[in-house]
Amino acid sequence: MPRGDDTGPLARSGRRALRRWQQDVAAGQAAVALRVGIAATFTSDPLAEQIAARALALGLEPQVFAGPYNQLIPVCLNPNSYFPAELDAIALFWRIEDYCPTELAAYQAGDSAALIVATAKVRELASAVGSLHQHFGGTLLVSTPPYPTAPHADPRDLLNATTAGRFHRALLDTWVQAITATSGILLVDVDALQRDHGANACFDARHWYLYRQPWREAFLVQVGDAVARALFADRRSAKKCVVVDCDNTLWGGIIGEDGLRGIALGDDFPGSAFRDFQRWLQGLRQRGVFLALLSKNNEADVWEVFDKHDAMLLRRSDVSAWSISWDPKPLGLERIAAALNIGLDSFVFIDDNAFEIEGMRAAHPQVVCIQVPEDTARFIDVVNGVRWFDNLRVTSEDRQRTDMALQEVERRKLSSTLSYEDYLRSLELRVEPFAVTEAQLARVVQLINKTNQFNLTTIRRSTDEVRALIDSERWFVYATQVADRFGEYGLTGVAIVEREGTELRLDSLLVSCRVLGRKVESAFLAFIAQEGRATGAKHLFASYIPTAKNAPCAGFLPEHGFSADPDGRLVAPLDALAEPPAHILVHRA
Amino acid sequence: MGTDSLLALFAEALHVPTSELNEETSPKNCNQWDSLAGMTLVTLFEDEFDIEFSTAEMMEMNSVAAVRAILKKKGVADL
Repeated sequence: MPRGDDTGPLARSGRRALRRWQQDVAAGQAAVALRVGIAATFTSDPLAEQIAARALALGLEPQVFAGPYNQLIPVCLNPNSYFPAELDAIALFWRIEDYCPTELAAYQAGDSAALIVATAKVRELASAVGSLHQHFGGTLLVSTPPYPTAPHADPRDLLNATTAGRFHRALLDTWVQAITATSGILLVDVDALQRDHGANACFDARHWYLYRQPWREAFLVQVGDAVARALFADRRSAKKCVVVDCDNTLWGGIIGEDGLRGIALGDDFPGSAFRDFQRWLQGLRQRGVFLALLSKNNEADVWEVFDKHDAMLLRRSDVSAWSISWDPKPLGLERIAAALNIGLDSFVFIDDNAFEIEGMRAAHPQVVCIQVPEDTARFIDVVNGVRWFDNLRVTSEDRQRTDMALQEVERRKLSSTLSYEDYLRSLELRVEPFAVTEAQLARVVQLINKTNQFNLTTIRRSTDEVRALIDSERWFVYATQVADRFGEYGLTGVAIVEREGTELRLDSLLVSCRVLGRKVESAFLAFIAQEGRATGAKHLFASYIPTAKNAPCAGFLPEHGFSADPDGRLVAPLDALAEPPAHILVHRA
Repeated sequence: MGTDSLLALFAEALHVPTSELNEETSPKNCNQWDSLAGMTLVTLFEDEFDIEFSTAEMMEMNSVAAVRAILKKKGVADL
């Protein structure tokens, strides 16, 4: 897996492979085995695509659904209303600048209380994730929030360390602590990936402004890869044993020729690179991976290094099994496998010698073989690049043991998790509908022509057509503003109603995905019913025209009491529609 | 690069056979040309021709003909 901008071609080939796979699935020649729903505080479709592509490359058989824009808490509390299928995994991504924009701006302007407000919001999100975890049986992944960048913050600002920098660190800490308090939620460290890739290189201002999607494709591939590997690691058992050669692998040089003083191991290069490799092996040991030695050497020479070399980090007690002899290495590996009683497919073999690597591959193709690179400085990069020991559960549980007390505190908080109704009530939603005039025409036409998800009839209209309806006696064009305690969402709903006598016909009803999941559409419908009643109308006729994208409103009419009349038309009495949901204040603007 | 090659890139991004594409193809008459495909198109052309679109150009990319005109303006030879 390349890094940086080299991932461009990978994005393209991954997309092609994904398309072929999707065609195979559509043709019934392949079956989806892993259904993933993702949601983010930004437009998530391109990320969904790259997660699917990387998961496919790892041999998973994925289908990834992109959830709604900036609706994490509603998704957590009510996932079934946002995703079309039974899911095996849900992954959630958030950015501070999307989730706490006003608090971030206030904190940068010197309002230190804004951090307290933002911390409460982050805990609220963690609480919603905890609630999702209780009800969802599949794999649950959440991201860490990356560093806030343009246009919301500038890391080059001389005050950054105490403004946006501190804000990020504090919220990151709060988040990780709150999430790890619940066992079994997996964290994908998007913050660390952003550092690795470069915060500035991740961001694409054009895609942000045009699509509300902040990241360049090369970075989407990196995040997609991390998510895919986490899903993979959660499904397949990781490798159990790392088998290493000694000369020019654990240390530089050949112990049998160079002697104890002649081998390279210590503070100076190249000895430092070998020492770092030993530290990496120690890390695997701590995560429960067996370490074995497989070396063509005199056994006594090898143990002399373990016992007497000052710079050795590994101890004899770290080594679970060994085969140090002049026998062929595939045979030695079989002995180690027998001693540890694990299958050959559980091994990763690391050696500097191309001949040994090839010999092992030929004899035991199920063993993963890694050759020490010629440039020793790249050693750690190469071993880190091979993710065969990715294992999510061990480390997260280890960490938990260390802060039990803290956990208990957090768990007590989570035991009183939010219900969806509580959440809706806490939003203090305001819906402010009105009859459209020339002043709002441009925005109304834009919504009519681009809203896909919550759009009952998906009838597109030009500016002139809408203007004609506004001027007509027979037609009514309504729009609504929406706001809650987090801020204003602006003009986010449009309805078009035709009136004939005491009958109203709902020609169009559409609500921007920005405000979906809050029952704004129900409040808007109640307003339309009240308006109709005031003019003496009795019934509202309506229809749902399914498209590829408007499944989210498929149940809307039946849920609001519409039923078929003798002619098969859906109708409801206005009296039954006029009451808005209890958590929404409807106020005619 | 001939006409078919440009259409081939569109076909790749939109997941539509080239035979169903022409100069008038646009988000209005092609269901697959949604905003995800729009984003893919931008990245695909930038990679393929080693160029970078301005935001204004991205907003103008609303038909095959429009994209061809923008690419020509940006000096992509032999379209």
